Amino acid sequence: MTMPIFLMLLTMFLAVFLLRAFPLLVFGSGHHKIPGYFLYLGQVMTGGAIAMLVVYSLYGVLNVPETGLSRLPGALLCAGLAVGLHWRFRNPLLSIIASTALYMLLIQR
Amino acid sequence: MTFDREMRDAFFDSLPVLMGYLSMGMAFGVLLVTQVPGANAFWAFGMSASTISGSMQFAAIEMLKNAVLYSLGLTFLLSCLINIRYSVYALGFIRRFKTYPWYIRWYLVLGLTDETYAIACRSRRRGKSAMRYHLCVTAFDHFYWVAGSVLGAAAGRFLKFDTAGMEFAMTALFLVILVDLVREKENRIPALIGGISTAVVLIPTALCLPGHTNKILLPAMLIMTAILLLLRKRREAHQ
Repeated sequence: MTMPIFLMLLTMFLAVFLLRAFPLLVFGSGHHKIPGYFLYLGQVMTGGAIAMLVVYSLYGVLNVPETGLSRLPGALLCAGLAVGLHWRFRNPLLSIIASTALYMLLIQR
Repeated sequence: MTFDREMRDAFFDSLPVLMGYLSMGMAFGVLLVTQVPGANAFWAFGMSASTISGSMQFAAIEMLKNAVLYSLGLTFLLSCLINIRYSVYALGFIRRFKTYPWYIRWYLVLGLTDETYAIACRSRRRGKSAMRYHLCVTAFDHFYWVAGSVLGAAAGRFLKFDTAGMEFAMTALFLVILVDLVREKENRIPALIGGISTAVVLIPTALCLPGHTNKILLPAMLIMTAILLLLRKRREAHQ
């Protein structure tokens, strides 16, 4: 590994680490009061961020070269299965394993 | 010892992450050694053990392929833009973290990922029990990510088991967490806003600039945050 590559990797690590540590560094000591809108965002962000990750990761699953949108119906079916199973049985492992297995079965045919 | 109980819960709750991280980590390891000249399993280990971020490390492969194009300043800026969501995640944990010893606090910050955040958020535990659980989830996820990447980098090219489609476990995990969240009324509107903001940014990007979809989380999050703040203002005005 050459020096510039190593420095580049170090820079990436530092950037990601500082982003994660930022709130703790600024508000963690308790010297600064956390502004109201920050607390509000902390509360509502969970629902928003998880929904965001659902959409984004679903796209990631479909974003395979040369398959285009042909896997969309299968992915939506499996997503529906996961939601249905989880709404009914509240068992995360059951919902996740069943829907993932079905998806693997569908695309590996 | 109560640690065993939290460790067991953390292990079962993070099983979907085991599937997801092993397959995603292996994909990362294979890509790294095949796309970046000179890269090997030690790089994969170093990157995955320290950075612990799929979005960052897949972007890193792209950047390393054309390393001459990137100054350290540009690398830093791009890395921040791609990953700013981690700040938002960490924000939700500050209050909880106050009572934790400093080394645990910093390890939880270091190991904060989409998946670890999602699982830790869902937990209703309090105090010491919450800390142990969060610590175990973070450590398990960290280990799965490193193991997947090193496996992929070392043996990926000779692997026979067809893991195609296993990445769906991630989507299923997020869906399951979302279903539990929207059982409570106050999460429904934020979730709707989050989903729509992401789709509104993602669909045009995927159609017009397919190579840039890895950067959509920032604009999506900005739009979502703006709408959520506007809603708060309106709610206050009504009271």
